[in-house]
Amino acid sequence: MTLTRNPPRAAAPDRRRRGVRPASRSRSRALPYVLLLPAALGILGTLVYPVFQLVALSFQRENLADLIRRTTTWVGLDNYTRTLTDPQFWTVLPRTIAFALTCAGLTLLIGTLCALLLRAASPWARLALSSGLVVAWATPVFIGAVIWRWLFDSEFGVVNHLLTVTGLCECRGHGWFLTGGQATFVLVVIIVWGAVPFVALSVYGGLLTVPPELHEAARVDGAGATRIFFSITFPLLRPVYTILLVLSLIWDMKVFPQIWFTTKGGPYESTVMLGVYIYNKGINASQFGAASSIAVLMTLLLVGLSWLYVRALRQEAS
Amino acid sequence: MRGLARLLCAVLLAGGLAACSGDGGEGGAATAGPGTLDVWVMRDSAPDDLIERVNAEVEAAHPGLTVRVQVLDWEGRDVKWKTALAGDDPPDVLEMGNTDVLTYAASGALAELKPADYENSGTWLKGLADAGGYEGKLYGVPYYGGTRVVIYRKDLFEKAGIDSEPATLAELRQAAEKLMKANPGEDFSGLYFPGRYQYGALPFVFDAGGQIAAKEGTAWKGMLSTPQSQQGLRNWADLVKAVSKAPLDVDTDADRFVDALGQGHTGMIIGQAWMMRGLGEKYPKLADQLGAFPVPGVNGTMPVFIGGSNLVVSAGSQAPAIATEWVKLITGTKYQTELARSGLLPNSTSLEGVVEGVTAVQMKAAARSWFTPQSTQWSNVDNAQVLQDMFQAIASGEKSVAEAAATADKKIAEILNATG
Amino acid sequence: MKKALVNVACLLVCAFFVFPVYWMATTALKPDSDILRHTPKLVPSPVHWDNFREILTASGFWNAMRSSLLVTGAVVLLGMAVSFLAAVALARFRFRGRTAFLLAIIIVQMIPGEALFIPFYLMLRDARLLGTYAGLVIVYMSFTLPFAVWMLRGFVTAVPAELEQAAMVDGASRFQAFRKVVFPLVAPGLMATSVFSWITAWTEFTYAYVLLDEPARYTLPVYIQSFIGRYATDYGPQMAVATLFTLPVVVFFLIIQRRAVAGLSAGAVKG
Repeated sequence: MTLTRNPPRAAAPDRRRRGVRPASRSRSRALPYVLLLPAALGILGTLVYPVFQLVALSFQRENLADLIRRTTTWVGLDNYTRTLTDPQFWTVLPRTIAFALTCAGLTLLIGTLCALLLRAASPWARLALSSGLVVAWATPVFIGAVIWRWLFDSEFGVVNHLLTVTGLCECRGHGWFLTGGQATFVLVVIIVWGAVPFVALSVYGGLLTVPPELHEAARVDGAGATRIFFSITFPLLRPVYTILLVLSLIWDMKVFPQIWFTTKGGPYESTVMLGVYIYNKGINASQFGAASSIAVLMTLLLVGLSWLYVRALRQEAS
Repeated sequence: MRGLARLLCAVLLAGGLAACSGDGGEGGAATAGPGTLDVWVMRDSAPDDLIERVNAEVEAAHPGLTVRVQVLDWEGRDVKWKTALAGDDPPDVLEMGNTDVLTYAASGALAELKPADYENSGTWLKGLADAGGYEGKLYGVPYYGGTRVVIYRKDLFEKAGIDSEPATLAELRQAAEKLMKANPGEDFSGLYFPGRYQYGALPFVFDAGGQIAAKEGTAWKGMLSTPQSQQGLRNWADLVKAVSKAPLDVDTDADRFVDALGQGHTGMIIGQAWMMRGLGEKYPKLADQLGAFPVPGVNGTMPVFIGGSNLVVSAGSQAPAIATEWVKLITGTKYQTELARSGLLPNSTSLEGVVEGVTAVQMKAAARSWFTPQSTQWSNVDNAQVLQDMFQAIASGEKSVAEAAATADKKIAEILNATG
Repeated sequence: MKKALVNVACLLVCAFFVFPVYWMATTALKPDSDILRHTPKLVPSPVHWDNFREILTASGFWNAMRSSLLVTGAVVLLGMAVSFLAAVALARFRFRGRTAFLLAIIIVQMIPGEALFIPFYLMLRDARLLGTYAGLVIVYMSFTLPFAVWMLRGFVTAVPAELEQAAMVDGASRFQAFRKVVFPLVAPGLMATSVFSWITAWTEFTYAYVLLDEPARYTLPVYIQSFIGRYATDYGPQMAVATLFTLPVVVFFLIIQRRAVAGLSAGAVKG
């Protein structure tokens, strides 16, 4: 549209283009680097340097006294051997992975169901649901956690009240944070609640790209809704799903505020995930070196995951 | 490395942060020259006007000096202190909870102080004086104490026909049961006692002759499984199960206490004495209906945990002389006497004569006191919520007393014997 | 009939997602005696505005608002300028190091934030930026920049390169072609991306809490946290502050949602 507003000038462009070409080519070789420079510098300054520090710290003894006196003591692999021989690490790691898998799986499942609802609903209901999703999405994570803690309060919480009046259970005064199982359940609810909107809206965006004719054809052939989803929709959206799964896993592995503002890892450290474990070791117990070694290990794990992500991208690109 | 960081930051600053750097530059590192004294106090400590008067007095003695006071919340205080004390311009004076001082003294963050410089240092409350010391040196000057007392509603006591303040554990339970009979609501607690409220529950252990942990040679050992400690835990559990409807999965939560009493969900709480001040402010109608008495034990008053605060001077303070002067002033007889009138326990037993009301109740209770194990790792037991988990598991019936105590002992030994 | 069922299901699911936010807002509109009831009132009656009044007249709130706006504004403006240029480079040029750069910005997003705490602290301490807004802006930039570059790249890629080539054929310089042709088309994406950066910076708590040591500089999340920690204030004012804090975010999100989703899936799917 902008083009039609600028009528072509006669002859001139041709000559100009021919004349400028070599210069422009060399300029375009440098140009991307120039454009990239601020971001590269920014990322270098704001992230590469701290990451470098993080790795360095993982080979140092750094406790509160070291932090205050600004002393540096290199200890080789001590922090890593300590972490890898800490029994808690070996309970927390599989727990975190299982937890992240559960949350990510539920998020994708519920997100898909929401997306299918969005597609099938009348416009007004679609607007209602998508707005509802956006409201949850936009709620800051730590505020979401504080609200949910209050909803599940055993004394004044509305969850116990609603469960009781609807006759689902006699839950007056029920404490949701008394056992690891139920506390974990509440955490899953909080995380899934916050994560579904992004997934639902992304899948819905993907669904819109699936040509309706395909569905019609399948339906004519007598396929049921489930069958259509698994044999037509899902294969088409597979790259979207791969990406959403990997992103969800990474986000759920890193989860911290949702736990910190509700259970702080309790009861009996049953809801301590890697993020909380790092925080306890580092900030609370002032073993900054040891905490860094856990963080490095965790990052390696996540980079492994992200490698899947990149591979999915590559596949998509080719 | 340092140069690199500064260079990169400079690049970013040049990139458009000039607008905020003007504002930012004056703070943090560059600020407080000798012209400022930074004092960090905690929420709910000494009344503001008292601190203001101390400031005025110090400022008058040093023309050109400004005292800047900041109020920190208890939640998250550690991370704030750690980063501030390791920074270039740490605050000069800090109020720390008495259980907090040891960790910081041991890591070289605090300046050594001389007891002789301070008034009444010979008669300081033992719990506070011990908490301020590390390897025989003084790092934290006792500021004020606080003990937990039973706060009750006189009107509800009257309605239930309770005519005297309970003096033993058995009488406490009877009173609570009478209150529940007189207020038959399903949610009414005779004594409101949240399940994770460790500082409320631990005195029961000491009352029965038990303790939390003890040092055997060089190693710490958890002592909650001893028969005495277990007896104490049972005493506590029996009481809580019988007369409290408070949630089991929450810890001390001043709001809940204040509101439970204020909204009439209970007739008694075991709370910090200063809560009475807040209760009276939030529920003015109740102001003259509140009473307090020492927490009764099996035989007479229960041994109390003397909570409270110490004042420390940071090792990196730019003005240590003025800092100590400020500390001297507020911990001296003159201001301690005023402090005592606001419901806080003054730092010295020599001031017994000036206290009245709830403070007198506390002073009386302070005669039998106990303290958390003196280990630099103790705060990690707190952070790991070992004791809260134990109490919660006992109250909910999730674990038996013996089981819960054994689990806690194991964890305590593990944490206290860990090497930093 | 089936449609009706679907619509009802939509409403139920919507209720689940909105309810916590509804509860936050309505708790803020109740007096204490209605908040601390064993049988909660589902609708506040009578509506009680005192909690909001209390906050809006507290000086700390407006100070915190100012801090938050300042920090967030700086993060968004700087971040957008920088990441837009990078996005253009990545979307429009093939050059050596492109893949490496892309990989780097992805990997960098995988590092757990809690772990970078001490490294950031040491960096800012060395640079003498502790306690300053500038220090906080740097930290937030590091959180938002990679994601912003990533998302914007998707938006720029989505604009066919033929459009600007055509403009250049018509005599526009590369810069003009970009400004007149591509920029207007990417502007909504820029908007969506900046909202993401904005939310990250707007809602961050831990770093703000630790790095800013003067209460006068506290950002809103830190201010809210101090409400939670303060004695004798409670769920009413706390939820009121949370509502005031969340509301603008929700409104912005509702405005940009379609663009944002398009940009996310574009950024994610297109290689």
